[in-house]
Amino acid sequence: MSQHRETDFVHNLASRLTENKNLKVEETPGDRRADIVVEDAHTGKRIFIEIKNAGQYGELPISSILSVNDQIKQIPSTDQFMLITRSSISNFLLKKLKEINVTAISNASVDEVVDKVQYALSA
Amino acid sequence: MDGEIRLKLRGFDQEKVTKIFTNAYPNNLASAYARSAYDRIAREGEKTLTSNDFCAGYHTNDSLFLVYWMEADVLKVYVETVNNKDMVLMKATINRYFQQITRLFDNQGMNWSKPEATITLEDCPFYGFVKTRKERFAEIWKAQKEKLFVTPIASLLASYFALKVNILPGDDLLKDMKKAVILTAEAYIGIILVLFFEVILKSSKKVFTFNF
Repeated sequence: MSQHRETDFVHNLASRLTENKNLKVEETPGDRRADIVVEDAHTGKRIFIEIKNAGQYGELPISSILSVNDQIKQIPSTDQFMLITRSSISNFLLKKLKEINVTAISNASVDEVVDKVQYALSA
Repeated sequence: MDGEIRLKLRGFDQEKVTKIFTNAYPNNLASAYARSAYDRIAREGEKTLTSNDFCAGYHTNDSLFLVYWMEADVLKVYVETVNNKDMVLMKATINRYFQQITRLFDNQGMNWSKPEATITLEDCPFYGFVKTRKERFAEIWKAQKEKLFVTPIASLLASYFALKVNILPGDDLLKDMKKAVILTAEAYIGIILVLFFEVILKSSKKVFTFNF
């Protein structure tokens, strides 16, 4: 996914999430922690959403976990972190991401991600 | 900034792969891991990959590689340089390790294919590919296509048009058409020579070309 398409995805996702009036959605392009922060206005639960892509390589390199770890360190442990990608994720990397409580979603549409975010916030 | 090399190995034989690396780089995994970003994060108390997640490793004073355990027939290698701001150095390091590793596999009769690489800088991935014979042929063909087809056809059509509207006398036109045929023949002989020297004689270089 080119940078341009990634920006479009972020905008579209933020826009769809904003349709839910119970959610406070903030696009945070300059924030090293994530691209979008979603907060449930009633419960105060938050999800930090990061979009990462591997371009032509097609699969997130396993070392992506290093930068994800850096990002997680900067958010409170009570908040959730979600990684969205258009690239594939190997089973090994998926397993490692799960160990650090990262929900990783590959090749999902904006609507599918919205459903998962809302589900995660309601859980 | 770090890099990853990916190869397909024919026949999934982790034991053979591990042996090839440990024979070539004995007792290097622990020290290579200890110098890596993975270990730095682990020492900060964060969960990450441990040295058990790798089957081999190697380091020099300014770079290292770590070999992940294979997933099916895919081998992946993590590459890191001490200077993590120098893209040219990272590219050269990836190519150096790629050549070393594939030479090891070739010497042991291990078939490998579909080499790919990536360098991740901040959130920008750069993709590396090896130009195979087929790709070199396609590149040369694309560059010469115009000379082989478009130019001779255009030249002949222009001569025919000139004859039809009486722009030039017939003798001159005949000379022009002969010239067009000779130039076309030159173009075909030229491409055969280029293909022979650049594609057939030259073996596939084990070097990644990165799209940046």
